[in-house]
Amino acid sequence: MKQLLIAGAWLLAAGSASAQAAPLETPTSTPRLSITIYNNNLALVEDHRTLDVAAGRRRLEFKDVSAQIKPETVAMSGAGLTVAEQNFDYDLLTPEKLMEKAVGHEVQIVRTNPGDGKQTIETATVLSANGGVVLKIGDRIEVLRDDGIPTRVIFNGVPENLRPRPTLSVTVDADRSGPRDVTLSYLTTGLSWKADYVAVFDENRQALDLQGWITLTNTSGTSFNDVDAQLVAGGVDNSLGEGNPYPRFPIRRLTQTLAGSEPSSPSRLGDFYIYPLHERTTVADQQTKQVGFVEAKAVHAQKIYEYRAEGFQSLEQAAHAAVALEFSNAQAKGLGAPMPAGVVRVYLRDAKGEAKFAGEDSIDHTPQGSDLSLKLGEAFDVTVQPTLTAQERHGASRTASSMSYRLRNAGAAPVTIDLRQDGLGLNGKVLRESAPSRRIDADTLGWDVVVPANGETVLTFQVESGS
Amino acid sequence: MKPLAGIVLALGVTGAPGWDGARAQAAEVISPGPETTALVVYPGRADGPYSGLALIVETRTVDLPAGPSTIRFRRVADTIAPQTAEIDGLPTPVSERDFDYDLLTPGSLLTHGVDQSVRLVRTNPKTGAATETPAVIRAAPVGVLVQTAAGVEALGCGGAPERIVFDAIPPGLSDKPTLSAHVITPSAGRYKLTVRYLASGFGWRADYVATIRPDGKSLDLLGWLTLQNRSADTLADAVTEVVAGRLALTGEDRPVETAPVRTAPDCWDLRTWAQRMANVRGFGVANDAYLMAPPPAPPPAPMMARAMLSEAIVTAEKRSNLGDYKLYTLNEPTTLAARQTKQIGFLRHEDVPFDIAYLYRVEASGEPPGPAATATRIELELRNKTERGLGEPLPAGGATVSAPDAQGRMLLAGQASVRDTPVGLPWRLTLGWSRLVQVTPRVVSARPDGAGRTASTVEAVLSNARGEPVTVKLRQAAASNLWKIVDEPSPHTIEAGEPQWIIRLAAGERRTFRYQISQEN
Repeated sequence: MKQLLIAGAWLLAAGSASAQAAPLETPTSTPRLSITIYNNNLALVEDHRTLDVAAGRRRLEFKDVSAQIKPETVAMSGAGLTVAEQNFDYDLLTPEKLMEKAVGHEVQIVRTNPGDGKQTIETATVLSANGGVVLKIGDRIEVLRDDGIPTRVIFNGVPENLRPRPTLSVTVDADRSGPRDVTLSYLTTGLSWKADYVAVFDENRQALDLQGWITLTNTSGTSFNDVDAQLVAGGVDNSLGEGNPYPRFPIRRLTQTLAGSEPSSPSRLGDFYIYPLHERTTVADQQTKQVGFVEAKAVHAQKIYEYRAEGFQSLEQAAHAAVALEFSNAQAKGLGAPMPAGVVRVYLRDAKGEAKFAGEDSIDHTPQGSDLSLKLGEAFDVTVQPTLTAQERHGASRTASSMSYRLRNAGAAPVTIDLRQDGLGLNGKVLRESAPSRRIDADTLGWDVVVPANGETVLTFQVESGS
Repeated sequence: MKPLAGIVLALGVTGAPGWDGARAQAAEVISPGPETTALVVYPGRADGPYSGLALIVETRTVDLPAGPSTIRFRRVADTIAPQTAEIDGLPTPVSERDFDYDLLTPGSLLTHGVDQSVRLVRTNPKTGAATETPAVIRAAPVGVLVQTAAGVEALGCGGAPERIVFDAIPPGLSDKPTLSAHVITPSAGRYKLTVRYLASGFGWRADYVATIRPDGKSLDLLGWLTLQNRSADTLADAVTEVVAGRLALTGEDRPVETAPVRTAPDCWDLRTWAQRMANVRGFGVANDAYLMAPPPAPPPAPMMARAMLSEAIVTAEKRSNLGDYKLYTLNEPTTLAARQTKQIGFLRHEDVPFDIAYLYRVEASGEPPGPAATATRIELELRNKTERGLGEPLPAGGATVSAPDAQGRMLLAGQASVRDTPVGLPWRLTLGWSRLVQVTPRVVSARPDGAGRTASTVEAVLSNARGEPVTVKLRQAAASNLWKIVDEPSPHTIEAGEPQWIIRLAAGERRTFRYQISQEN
């Protein structure tokens, strides 16, 4: 950031001579804006407008660009225009700055007599504004308000390069006079988006009603009126000379259990999905806007209980089994849409049929045709108590572990628990088991254990591993 | 995939203006507040307005005209997570909803007023005469510059009273963050809406008060739902429910952090000669006084809960299942005031039998030098079964146990935290240390036991100074899972991966318990 400031200041100093010379034009035509918003607090703004530019060197000032513009990314183009220089000025207009700029100039001094309230107006020249204002009034030298008597200062005007907000100005050479279409594009921070999903699960019908919202957040300091917005799902590297030079790898999310392979309708840019909004919209400053983008009824879904045991160990108190919701966003299963990254909030209906929040999980960008598994929480009535009943050496380098899992169900319906045991290690081998396991991978065994209503099931097995 | 904005698309086809055009003519409908409120509180602590979670369900009635309208929902909870809001009951789906938090503050009024016409009012400090001058704000909010016909001036730097008068509030500024929905209604009518959203600042836990009966064999158990509201909103006459069980959360259901635009006077150096000499800071310094909220009052001690029983609004709950969670519905609507902790009884069992055991764990790496008598841990165990006086879900929280002394006065026996306990599981409370039942362990021999193993013989002297028989649970810590008991006077069980013996001691008995364990070095 510091580097950026220095570069900006240099631009300002180098450009001021020619920039001051060029006649100033402040475009007043309303821009037609289109914005492409990325997930990672970044947006590309394209500002199209028709400008009437006189021939010759002209300085165009754009007051209504984003307050969080990245000035190094600005590009302007227009028929018959050559960009001579671009400045981003943030020498902000404040009373103190105005007084500093008035040094050597005349101001009006209005004094109010505290005795009778009468006002006297005098003309003064500001000599200095360093820790107090020194004035020359006629042939007297005074310090402003040194006596504490109310004294107002009236300035003749505001210097051109002091502005109430950071302002972008572009100096152009125009080959001819007349109106033409001009495009200004730049990157800005302060705009981002994600998806929020509401999923109402009906356990009896094994059906999920899903509604997806795109949530746009604007904290850029600027409102974007009547824009054509599109959203890009996917991470774009934006480490332009700042931040970590090592690219980040996507985090492995456990929600996507099978990556989708169905091509789908939203347009794509490279490997990113693009979601255009159907209508032009206004994204006000300090606003969170939500636009519905997908709705599907009765998507097939099922609830499962699972317990993942990491290694062979005992627990003093029983742990609760996790509850997960499994569904697919494939066309054939009723959804048929890619799902941009965000949070899925799951609601369940209570005995009166009212939807109640029951847990949430975040998902990554999920292509169409993926299998998803969302973790909702823990089952109050379904518990698992693991005990390592014995561990012994088999030969020089192999170990045999005996596990006992006591699975209890205090509910009124039988449940099936997907129990996974990992930690088999090298050459893992099942020596005995009370129920047949399936091999999930080299390190992991899996069982579907049925636990009766108000009852319990004990699963025991012995595995051997080592070289 | 069905695009949601069907209505909007249809408009596009008929050549009507786009959504923004429609919004320009959209009628503004204000819903001043909820008619009924229902609250579902999720388990956990609410340390402040940004932690803990609740679902708030409101009903609101609105009169909508035909065509496009914007419904503004006033008086939603301050701690709303706006992205979770859902609106049911409209004739067509909501195509767009907004949450605006550009708040009306002196600073934002000035910032939005830049380049706008205002009136500058000056009052003569001596005569009291006010003069009004048309002006345009040229810079704000840190230091305000206005342009009048006379020239440019800084506001508040002259030393005489002056103020800015605005003709109207700039569009888009509101006193509170506001949720709004854009809808297109085919025909005018009255609609009953359900607005559902998550909000933070709420939490609950269960607090149990166990009173041991004079016979020392059974206890009376009271359970309280301790509801916390750490938000600034009062939920009046709300149908209140709590969910028991653990939910997976992402931590993203948080309210928007609003950053109000602050204004500060900014002038050139205004010190007078006298102030300059005294090195006193002048008035050009921003003076932000932050309003410090007092820390929230601690929840009432569960011991006091007994006294509150008579004041409890609700004394019994209806319990049902919500998926794999338990849902407790309070008997009648209740008011949960801002920054209030409320306790409501939900469980009462009398004459529940319990067991007391004295637990001692012999350390794996040997004991400190020299045999020393060491205190045991007192463990109270209930079985959550109907035939043992309980038999209902016990949500997580804390338990306080008290017991009568010889004179019948109640003494605190201990406090413990408890986890979600379904029916059938033991409910163990670790209460404290006993100096009446003690263990003196000693490793009497250690010798090699095959390759890389050591067999240690442990002699533990158990002593009971109580006037009644007791149960001791003696556990041997294991350095690894590859342990084996070589010799023991009675068979062991495995608890938390370690061998454990259960030994009954008679009143006043001292007994030596000797076993041999083989472990890898």
